[in-house]
Amino acid sequence: MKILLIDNNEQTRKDLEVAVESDGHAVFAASEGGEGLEIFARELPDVVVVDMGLADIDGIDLVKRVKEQNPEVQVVVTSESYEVDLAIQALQYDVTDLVKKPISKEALADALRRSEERLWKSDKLRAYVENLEGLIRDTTAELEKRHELEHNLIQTSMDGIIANDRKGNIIIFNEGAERIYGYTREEAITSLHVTQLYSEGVARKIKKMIYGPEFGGPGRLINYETEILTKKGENHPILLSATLLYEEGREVATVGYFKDMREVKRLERELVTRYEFEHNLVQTSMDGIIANDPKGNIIIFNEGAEHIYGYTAEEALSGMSVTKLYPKGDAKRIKKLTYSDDYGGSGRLVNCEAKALTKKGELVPILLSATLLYEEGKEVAMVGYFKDMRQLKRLESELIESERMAAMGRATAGIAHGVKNILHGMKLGAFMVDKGLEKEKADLLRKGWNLVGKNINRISRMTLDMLSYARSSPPLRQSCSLNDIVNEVCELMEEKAKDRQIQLIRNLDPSLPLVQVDAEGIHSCLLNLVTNAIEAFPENISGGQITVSSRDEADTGVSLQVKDTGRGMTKELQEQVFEHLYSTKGARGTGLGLAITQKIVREHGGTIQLVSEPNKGSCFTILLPK
Amino acid sequence: MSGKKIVIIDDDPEICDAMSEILSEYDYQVFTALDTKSGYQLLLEQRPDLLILDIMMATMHEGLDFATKMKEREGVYGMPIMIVSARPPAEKGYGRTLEEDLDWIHADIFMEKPIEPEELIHNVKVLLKD
Repeated sequence: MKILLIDNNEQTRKDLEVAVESDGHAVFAASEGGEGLEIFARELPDVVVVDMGLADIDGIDLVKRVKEQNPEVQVVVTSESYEVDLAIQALQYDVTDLVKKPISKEALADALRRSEERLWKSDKLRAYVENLEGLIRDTTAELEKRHELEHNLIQTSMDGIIANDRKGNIIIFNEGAERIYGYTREEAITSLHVTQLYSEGVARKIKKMIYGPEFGGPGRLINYETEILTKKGENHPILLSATLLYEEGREVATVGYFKDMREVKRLERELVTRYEFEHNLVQTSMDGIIANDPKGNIIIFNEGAEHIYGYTAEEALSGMSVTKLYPKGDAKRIKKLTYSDDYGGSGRLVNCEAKALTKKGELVPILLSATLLYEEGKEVAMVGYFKDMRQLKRLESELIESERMAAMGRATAGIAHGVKNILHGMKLGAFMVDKGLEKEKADLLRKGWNLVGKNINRISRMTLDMLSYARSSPPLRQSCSLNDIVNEVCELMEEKAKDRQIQLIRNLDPSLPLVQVDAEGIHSCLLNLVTNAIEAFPENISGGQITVSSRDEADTGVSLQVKDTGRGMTKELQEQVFEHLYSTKGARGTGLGLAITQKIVREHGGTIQLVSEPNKGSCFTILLPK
Repeated sequence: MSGKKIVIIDDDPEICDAMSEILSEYDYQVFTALDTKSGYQLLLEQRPDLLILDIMMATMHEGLDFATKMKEREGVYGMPIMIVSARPPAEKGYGRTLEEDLDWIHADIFMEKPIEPEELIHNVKVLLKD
């Protein structure tokens, strides 16, 4: 310990110094009070031993001053006398010990030991207090943190959170509330009353609801739908939950949680719009759409269905059975097909041809697709889509007709070309006739007249072809043998082929079934193809082959084929050959032959195909349905 | 008697015959071919003074293609070319038009069918400078 001795008596100081130093303490000594205070301030001793009989300062006064500077310093007072006054004062200033002069070694040692003990206790106490203070600090920090967290939670909640005290003053107004209302937190807390958050009267009603039992019991409100009044004066739908807060049994505040319902409402509206849209789609569909419940009662009957059946939706929906829409037994059959795997899998029916029984009792060909609807695994309805095939067929024939008219337009250019060529031949012929007469050359005259005659034939042939192409009448079908037609055509052309030294070969299927066709039409098709085939050979080359075959093509129908080993066609020419009224036959062709052939084949519901390669030959195949 | 040589290429044998008869009356030597392939042979053999060419033969523009080829080798086959066709020069829809090709084919004369025989003879005389 550091010990400060203050005593006037030099001998006493020395005696004490020796005694204290021998106990291992550091000693500072002063003879006067002033000096003592100086050393005290400089050395900060743990113990001060002070005599009460100092010359310059009153002893008690000095005690008081050192204790003021350091309350923990231990003070031992020495005195000649031992008076009660002094003892009381000493206690008052928390003096550690009083030692009577002359100071015995034992008494001093005792006082110093007590001082040491007190110092140790005071250290302990300080450490304890410091520890305690630290604990309190930590706890406070944790509490603050938790508070901050809760505060943030409230602040950043997506939902609005608003609290008000009993007077209706707003005390919490979080970011969610700012979003919903458009007020800032500051505006709300400083200048708003809770009733201003709603349209007039609503706040009171809500308060009543909170105290009442209807929504979650008294003191609480759970999921109450209402409307708030925003800063802009708009009413927004919200879902409100609220609770009363109590402190020591006293109601202190109301907290409300506001869920913005605009998004939910918007979705709801969208759902309704979409439903309406789909409903309209169903209603205005060109196709008939009919749905029935499992009992067979019609539950949807759209405009398309009205068109097909002639029933109004009202008639159909007033308890009419779906079986009335088909010929007897058909509804059952269709139901069976829908459940089976045959058309598009179980529970579905895809493009099944059927007949609709109309209100007037007529049968209308339809293409039916259907599907079963389920709700939670239970079949609730069957929806059918009805395509009116009459309409389709009509559109198809309209399309063919317009295609034909377009072709006719294109044909005009081709016809003009043909006519010009014919006129050219006639002019040259007439000129030759003139010259022949003029020069009296019978040979030239004959040649010229011959040319004129040939061109007259050409123009009449062309006129007939045009008429036959432009004619729009359905084929007169009768049962006939295609082989017979092939034979007729081949016999007719035999001689011409022979002239050109072309072999005309027939390759006929003897088991060809009879087909329903317009014999005259097919005859001219075949005649055209064979004539073309003969023309396909260059004028001065002989020894070609033409093969005409017939074949049963099983499910696809019957085919007639005309194949030549002539000059063939380039890709470009193959594309034009049906398109334009195009002739490569010089003066002989009208350019209408293939166009007419194609028209007749199409009228029979058949197709005509061309495969050709330059210098190898061409092959036309007509496919007719059985 | 000029005896100048004319080659006619036209796929219509009757037209070939008739033109041949008519031009022979004016003392031209006429050779005819029904396609450009044999026509080309004739050109090589006869080295004519004039070529009369149809356009639409085996293809829509066989005559045009042939004229192009001939004009590309003008040094070799220096004869003038007369195109005779029922196709008007600006007719579209056949892939090529005469009008756009005439710029560089430089057919010397284009005659649209039907042609007046007198006009034919007149133009032939002009081209042959008779």
